[in-house]
Amino acid sequence: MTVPCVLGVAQFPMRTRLPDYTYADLLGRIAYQAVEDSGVDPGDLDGLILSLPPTTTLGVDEAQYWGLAHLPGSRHVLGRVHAAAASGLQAFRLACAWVSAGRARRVLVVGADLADEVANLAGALGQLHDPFTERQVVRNAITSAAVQASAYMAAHKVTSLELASVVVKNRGNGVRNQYAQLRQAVTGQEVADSPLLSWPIRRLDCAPRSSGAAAILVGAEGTGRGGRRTVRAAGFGAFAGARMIGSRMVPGAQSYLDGADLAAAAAQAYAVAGIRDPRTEIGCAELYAAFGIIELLSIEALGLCPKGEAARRIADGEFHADAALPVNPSGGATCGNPLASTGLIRVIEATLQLWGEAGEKQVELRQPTVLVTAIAGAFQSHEVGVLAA
Amino acid sequence: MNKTTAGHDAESGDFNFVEGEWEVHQRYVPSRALVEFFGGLKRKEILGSPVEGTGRIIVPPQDFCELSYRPTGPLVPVGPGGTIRSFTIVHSRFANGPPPPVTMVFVQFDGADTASPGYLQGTALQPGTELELIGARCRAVFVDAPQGDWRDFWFELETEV
Amino acid sequence: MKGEVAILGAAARVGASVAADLESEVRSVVLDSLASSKLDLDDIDAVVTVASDTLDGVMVPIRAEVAGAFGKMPLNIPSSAGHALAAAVVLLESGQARHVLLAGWGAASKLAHHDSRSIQADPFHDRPAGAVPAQVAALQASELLDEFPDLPPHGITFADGAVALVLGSSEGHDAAVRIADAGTSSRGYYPEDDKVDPLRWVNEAMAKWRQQPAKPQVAVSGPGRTAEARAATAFTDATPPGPALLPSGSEAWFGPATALFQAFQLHEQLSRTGGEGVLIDMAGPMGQHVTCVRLAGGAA
Repeated sequence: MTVPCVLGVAQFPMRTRLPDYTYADLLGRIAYQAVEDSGVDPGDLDGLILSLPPTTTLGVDEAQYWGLAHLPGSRHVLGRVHAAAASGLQAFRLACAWVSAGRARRVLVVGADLADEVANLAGALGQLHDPFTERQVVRNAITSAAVQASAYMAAHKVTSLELASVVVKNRGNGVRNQYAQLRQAVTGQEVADSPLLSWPIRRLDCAPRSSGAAAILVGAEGTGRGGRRTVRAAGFGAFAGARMIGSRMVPGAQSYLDGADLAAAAAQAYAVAGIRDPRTEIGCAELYAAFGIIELLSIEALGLCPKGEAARRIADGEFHADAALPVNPSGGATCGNPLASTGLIRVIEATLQLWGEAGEKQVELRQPTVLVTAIAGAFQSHEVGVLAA
Repeated sequence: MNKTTAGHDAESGDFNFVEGEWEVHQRYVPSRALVEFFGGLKRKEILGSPVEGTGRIIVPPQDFCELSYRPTGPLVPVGPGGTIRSFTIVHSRFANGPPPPVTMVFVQFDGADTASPGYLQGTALQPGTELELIGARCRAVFVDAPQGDWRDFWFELETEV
Repeated sequence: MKGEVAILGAAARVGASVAADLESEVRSVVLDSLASSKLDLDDIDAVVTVASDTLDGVMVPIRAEVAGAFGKMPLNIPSSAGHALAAAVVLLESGQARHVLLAGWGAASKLAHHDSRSIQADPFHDRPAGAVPAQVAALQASELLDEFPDLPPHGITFADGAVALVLGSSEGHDAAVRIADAGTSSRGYYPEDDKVDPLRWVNEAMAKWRQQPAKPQVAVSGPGRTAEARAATAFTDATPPGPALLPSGSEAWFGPATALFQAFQLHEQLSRTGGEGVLIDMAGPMGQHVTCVRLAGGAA
């Protein structure tokens, strides 16, 4: 079986608006950049996968027919993957499967977002919710995260200021990320003083609405340009969650509040990658977290620290860029979250760390292994990947 | 109806955007269990569906359990009392939502094995006491003339926090 | 994975009942496919879905529990049944899964009243000119009929359907229908080379196969009867002609999952007669995203 490796990567600077580009423009540019980065001839691709969550934000349904024309690999489309904000990592996993199975040699995964082309995301993301119960009591991404944060604060006696430590960490990391949308540091007090959206979630707790693009070329080891460490996909795990989040917040079944579903996905990935103690065997993590609370729950569910301790440990300096196990040294989704690209960006940032090409974001990797996650819906379905050099 | 019209910059007259609308009419068909549930709401009853072979009671009811994939049986009454498992206080006006601030709670009805969303009314929370809602007892209160819709009821605390 | 990928079980429903109670019908085909495979849902470790958010009005990856996906490794590929079937194959061959449930559905009969697919064209050039998939398909058919007047006239019937396949290793399942090969080919909304003949794309996809079939049963799903018939000439023009075509996708089109029904029909046929089969899935306004799957085996 062929070991799938990352041959090339590219990401577009994340911005609220990218008014000079159409969707097709963005895809084309990022695709060619990733192929150039790999050193592979654009005519030598035999697979193209599109990461594309709900197309209502784009205003073009089934955009693969419009957007993929003229891209490298456009005659070898293998499909569009739609798993909401987890699309990028799920698409990357599929590309790895094609290469690993020996049915494709070089598969390009692309995603792009133009977030400002729709007035707000309420209609677009409204299809997340049950039409009979969740529109009458309006549940959206913000209120869903708030429900998690309330439970977390109550269960672990964590204050709002402690909760804000993860946003402070990530915004500080974003200063060093040339691709980040938000590049100004914030203090805990600024987070605590920002407008209250849905208690206890404040505006600065939330990822911004982002436009952007990203692409990854996957292929067999040794088939890209030389001079780089081989970064291979060492293992994947995934867990499709419940549609009704209320079924997962009662005693005995509260994965919505404690991350047990994510832990199950991680256990699969760790088993395939041969990881027994993630705290000592993982060098760095790029975790998807559109809200600070998601990162806290993720750190704990992934076994990187005991339950209830993530916020305080971050406040004490753990998981920062200069710590033993940095989490989101890129700033994560806190600093930019284009939905189609965000899962790919986690893989790209992980790869850059392993290649030693992360620039100002570069951390000292204690282990040549990086963990990535992606989430579909409101902490509902989870994708976990382990990349190793 | 799907419409697309070209737009021009007001000052320069340059063509610089296209406006579009995308309407897809949907008719959502509720499951058998949900239809029966809405009938129960009209009678001011809360009903849940028992999952065959497990004893688990699901609210809102479904024709099958999304976790075990087993079918569900005839609906059974649950509540109207319950326990708040989590909450948030919404301070923003979201599409189709009520004017803020409004407290959204997830309540596990007595006899149910899931938590259901709803709005909490009749409680003025003092700042700093919000978290006392978690684990608090409450009950469903109905409008005078329920229509068979999730908006027919709200929650009120059984005792002040 | 030892052995080849095989279809261990299959079930399908096409008809108005699917639109009336979509979740129950999807669940029924999932349970029936599991029963025919003699596996339980617990044996499934990955669920691949193919369905359209636009048709459903609900985000498909968040409602995958209707296909038994809770707790499984999910993969949602709304672009086409062919893409989803090929993805299921590589999930198995790569070892990401041991048993895959592939489920697809769509209540597309509503498109006969209002075709919401007009939103698929680019908003700058094509949509203002009135491009909609129905017209694009008709234009393609018109060009094909000009050159090949013996092809059937264009037409497509919208329908509602749900299909489930259980896939796993052929080891220990000697009579199972195997998925021997898969290849894809694709073009843009308007083919970049201005050539609209789907036979060209089908031949490109089949060129990726490791082996070519002799006299296969053929099932095609595409944008309309003309394009489907043209695509099928890859086999039916042979001398002597190959086996008759199985009923095609355009006779009951229920969205991107339609070709799963053709896969189901091929599976049923080959399970009875053995031999080889070819599934041609052409998705898109002109069928320009093509997947060709070669099947083999079944009863001797």
